[in-house]
Amino acid sequence: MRGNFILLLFMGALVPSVYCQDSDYPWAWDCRNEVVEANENATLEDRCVRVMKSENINATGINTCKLTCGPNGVLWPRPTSVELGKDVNFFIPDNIRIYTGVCPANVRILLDVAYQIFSDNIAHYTPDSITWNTTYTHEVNIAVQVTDNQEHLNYDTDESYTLRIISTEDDTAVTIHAETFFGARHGLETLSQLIDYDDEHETLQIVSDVVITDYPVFKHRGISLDTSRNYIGIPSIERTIDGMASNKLNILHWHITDSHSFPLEVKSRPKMMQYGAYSPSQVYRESEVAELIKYAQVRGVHILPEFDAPAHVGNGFQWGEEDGLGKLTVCVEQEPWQSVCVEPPCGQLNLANENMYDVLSDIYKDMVDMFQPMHVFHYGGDEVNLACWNETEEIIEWMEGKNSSRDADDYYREWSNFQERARELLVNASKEVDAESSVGEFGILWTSHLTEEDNVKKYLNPDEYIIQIWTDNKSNIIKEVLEAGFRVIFSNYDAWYLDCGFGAWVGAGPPNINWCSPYKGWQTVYDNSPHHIAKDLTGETHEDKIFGGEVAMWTEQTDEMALDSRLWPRSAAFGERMWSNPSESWRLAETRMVHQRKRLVQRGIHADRLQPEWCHQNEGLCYAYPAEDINPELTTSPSVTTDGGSNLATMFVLNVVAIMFIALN
Amino acid sequence: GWYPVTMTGAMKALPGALTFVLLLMVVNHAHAQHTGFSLPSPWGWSCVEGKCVREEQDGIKNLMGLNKCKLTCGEYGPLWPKPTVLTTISKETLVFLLPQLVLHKLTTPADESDDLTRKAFDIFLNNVAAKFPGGEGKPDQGRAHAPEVLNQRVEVEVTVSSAAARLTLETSEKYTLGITTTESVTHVTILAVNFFGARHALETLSQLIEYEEYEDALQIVNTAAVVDSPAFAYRGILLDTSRNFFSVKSIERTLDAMAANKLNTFHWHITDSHSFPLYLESLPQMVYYGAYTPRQIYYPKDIRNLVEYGRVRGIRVLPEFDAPAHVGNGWQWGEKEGMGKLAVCVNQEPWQSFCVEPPCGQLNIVNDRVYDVLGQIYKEMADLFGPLDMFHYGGDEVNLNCWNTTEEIVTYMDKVGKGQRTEEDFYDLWSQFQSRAYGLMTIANKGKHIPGILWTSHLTEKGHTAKYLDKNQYIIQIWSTGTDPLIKELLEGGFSVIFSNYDAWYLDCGYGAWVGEGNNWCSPYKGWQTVYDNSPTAMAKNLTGKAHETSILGGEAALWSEQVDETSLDSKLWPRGQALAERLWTNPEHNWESAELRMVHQRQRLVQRGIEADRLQPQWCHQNEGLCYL
Repeated sequence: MRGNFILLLFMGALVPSVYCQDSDYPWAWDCRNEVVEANENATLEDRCVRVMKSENINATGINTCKLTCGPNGVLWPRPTSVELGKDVNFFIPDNIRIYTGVCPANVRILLDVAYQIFSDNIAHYTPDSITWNTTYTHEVNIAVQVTDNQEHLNYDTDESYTLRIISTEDDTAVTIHAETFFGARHGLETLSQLIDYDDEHETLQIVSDVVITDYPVFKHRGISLDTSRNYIGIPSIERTIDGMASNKLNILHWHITDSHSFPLEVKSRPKMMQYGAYSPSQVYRESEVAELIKYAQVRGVHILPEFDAPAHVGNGFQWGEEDGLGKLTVCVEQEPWQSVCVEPPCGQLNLANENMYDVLSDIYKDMVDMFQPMHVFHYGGDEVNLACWNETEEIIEWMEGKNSSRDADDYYREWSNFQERARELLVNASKEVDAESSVGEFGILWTSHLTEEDNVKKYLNPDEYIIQIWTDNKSNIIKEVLEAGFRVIFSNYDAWYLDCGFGAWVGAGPPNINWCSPYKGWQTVYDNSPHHIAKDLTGETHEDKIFGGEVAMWTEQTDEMALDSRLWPRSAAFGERMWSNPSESWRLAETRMVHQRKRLVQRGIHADRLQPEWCHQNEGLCYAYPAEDINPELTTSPSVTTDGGSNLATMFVLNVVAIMFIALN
Repeated sequence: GWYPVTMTGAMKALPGALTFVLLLMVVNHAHAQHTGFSLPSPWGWSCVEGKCVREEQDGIKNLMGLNKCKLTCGEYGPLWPKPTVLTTISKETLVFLLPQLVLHKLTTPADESDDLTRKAFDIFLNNVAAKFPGGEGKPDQGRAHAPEVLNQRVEVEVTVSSAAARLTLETSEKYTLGITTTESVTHVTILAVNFFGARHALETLSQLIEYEEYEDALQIVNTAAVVDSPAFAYRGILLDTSRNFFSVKSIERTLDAMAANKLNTFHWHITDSHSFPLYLESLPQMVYYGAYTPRQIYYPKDIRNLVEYGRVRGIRVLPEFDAPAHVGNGWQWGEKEGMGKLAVCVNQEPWQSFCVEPPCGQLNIVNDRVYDVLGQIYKEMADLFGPLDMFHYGGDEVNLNCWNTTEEIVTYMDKVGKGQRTEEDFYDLWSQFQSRAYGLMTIANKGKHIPGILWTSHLTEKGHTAKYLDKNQYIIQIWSTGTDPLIKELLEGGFSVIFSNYDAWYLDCGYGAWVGEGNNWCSPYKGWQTVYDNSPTAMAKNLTGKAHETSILGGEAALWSEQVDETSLDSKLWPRGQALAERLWTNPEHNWESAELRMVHQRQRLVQRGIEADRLQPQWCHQNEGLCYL
């Protein structure tokens, strides 16, 4: 048909429309070791080259090429060790069988859900209107084996797995072995990346022979999501968990509340959400939280709640005086906000009010109940504004009553006393539910005045806290906390704050952009290596103390409308940093990254686009030189020898340099 | 339904005199299973010095629901873009149900404008229905409404005096809107010169209606008068569908959002060097080689549908066929069919030497067959998009080095005695191409001359424009910075212009680089405040001392799509496209600060209409007006 098609066409003739069947497509892909010479950063890795189908009989559909080309195909995050076959087998979904081998009974139940998720993910690869061709009789038999009965992820969980694929003409045998359910579900995730739809054959394909051994470099691989500045509906949080599962991220750090709103149902204190929710429909019911935890569990994600205190509180606490408990919080929505907090609206807990601790205890108890089993808790603890306390009469009197001066150090002392009481309340609440609870050991605090030089040793115990770093990557605080023996999680804002780079939300002058601009491109996210940062600052990589990292999605300027495109695909870049901790830069990951983004879209996640689709179809050609490397000779063409060409050549070099200068700036 | 059933029970159980707010602001309609809490919210609002202030209910203060406050507080209430001539809005609203909102009388001079206006009214009704929390115009089941609510009617009367049914630069988009209430009937009177003004009036009317939280019904301001017409005739959004493909559905959504903001031109940059997704019946080779995949193609029926979809929403769909640069994929078939090379430098490497971004490609303007194909493309485009009142020729970023290193072109230059191949020689050649293109479009347009739009380029550089381009034939679209002296030369040379200066109106800026690393070339991101404050007349005045109001036809925000496809289209266009819209409709004297509250509320409306507009601020700022300041 294609031959006729071309013959029919000549200039001026009106040809009846014959395009387009899927088969009627001129392009195919060939995996070649063909360097883009001008691309100085190119490596010798194979890449998929787009060619004319009619002129290249060995070329395949794009997905076949992507699955089998290069050392890592399109696996994301890159496995620890991988051997990848160069062939595929074609099959239809009806011919997939999954068997659970040796496995504890409780894990069997989790695995059944994981199989369903796996099947759904495979189903997303295919066009909506597909009719399966049953002449494809190739069978895919998947056997999964798990030894341990662990059901809940914690810092000791073994997430490793091995995956093997062996095939004959008639069938493909897949085996996934893992210590825990969590390793097994990661194996299924990897398996789904060894399968894709093929437009040429109009059916599914699976890589023929594979050996993968895989485990994560970091144990805390998280996304922090703020649901207080703007409310994020449960379906959007579920979608976020889907994206995390696809990238083997394992901690959803839920910054539930803040001064702006309090959307969480606290059964013992229902007025929290009554006063604190933006509207009656913008709340998280206890039952919804329970469902969400299960949703995450079968996707290998643990939900880690944060109750930020003693700052970042406000809305939700206004009922104290009416109920005879006095002011639970101070400075709530106080004006001018600049004097008493970092962004509107203000609010901090009233340290002088003993009733505040009763309410805090109730909040903690209900949270412990909701987020079982809780092995780690986030106390928040950032951005306390001393002026707020120091300008509040009740607190001034309280300080004077204790014969305390009111210097910064006095407030730090009171703040750390608060923190210790908060820790005791939480640990007691946890022990009531689970005597073995490790929360006392794994409490997380943001970097703050309390973690600054001299303070951190004085006020905090490294056996009790993990410090989450949100400074930039050069901050002395990082050195300070590492050398004081604290375990840490990296969220340095200069790479891992995903809310940066948009317009300002509290007025400003030009250029009207927010505080942590510019936007952190996926390359910046990918290249941010905690070990390197530690080494640069301390001379050591501190591998034992660096539990991992989190990208942070603060939501002053995001709600569920653009949540996906802020988080994805940049969190996929983060996922590979956390899982594989590659020694190479983003350049080697680019084509896999772009393909992983496509997968996320197929799974219903509105991930942002990184490049023109042309780049996905023409691997390695969307490159740029570093500006200083532009080679003037590039513009000299051997085919032009006529007079004047050389003058022009010089001129054009200047043009090209100018253009590149603009492009790279 | 989305409206929590438990809350209804609570409302009935409580004494009617107890006032409290069940605030159901717009969030996402999709989450129908979400249940709220049954406790009353303690908050209500009052209008203090033009701002809605949140306070705790005490049963004594007469506080309003947030929606009523937004409708009635502030000089311009909830209107966006701000009307230009007259606005008065009363402080009271009347509660009614959707079926009671009717087109009572329609007077038009022709069947076509009658038909268009009826369609616009149906769209208006859908927009009003979307204000309910469930998005479907239905109150909660079993809700008993008071007789005065059940009986309240809203009767709309529309009078259109001229039959104009196609938008041109001369079309009057003026309207007047009156709302008066006598007893249980609210009369809405719309007077417009033509259909376009009438549909704008219906947009304005839809902004004077909100959901009513206590009664689970609608409310409309009981008295209002608006007289309105736009400052600029050309108010556009550019979408590039070549770097990445956008489904017809997502383009329709873009047209919906444009209509909500009274933008009137969808400038469709259909093709580029990356892909050619436009199906041409006489040239199916173009999509065969040029579409990314067979599923990513615009067929004639899609185009015709979109043109009509735009028209009933007051929008012209203006096609661009960018040439002689920005071509490539789709043109690879020439040699195979004995026509020689139609395009040169296609996908050539290293790309930096031959174009501004990969992949490269320019028309082989010395091959006469190129003009045959171009004429054919124009003919089909004129047919698909027509009748055209303007056409965009593109004409940007020609790379002379591409032509100068192409043997066929070098040989031609020698032959015509331009063997020196100076820059000027190539500009001459390029401008000859442009003249031929203009002639071909005139033929395609059945002999009717229409203004052509060209991007600023080397041809419009200092001293060039007057030499190479005729101000009676071309409108220049400015994409350099707002302080470029080129603007002065164009305006003083008598050219009509459209502003798209990239330092304010390129909505793709500020993200990560897509070739290399760091941030993309036109970073930083243009916040809505920057978009809003970008005034073409002020820029003209700065550069020339005069506002040049007649030469400045308007402006356009551009969404180049190297780094966007339909998954994040909405949040990149909106709500910043709103800020553009008020600049172009109202051309306010003031800066963004006095527009902020209305801006944030208009964003909520777009979300109600199914547009995934980005969030500008915490919802707390929407509920606490004026407190998110610096």
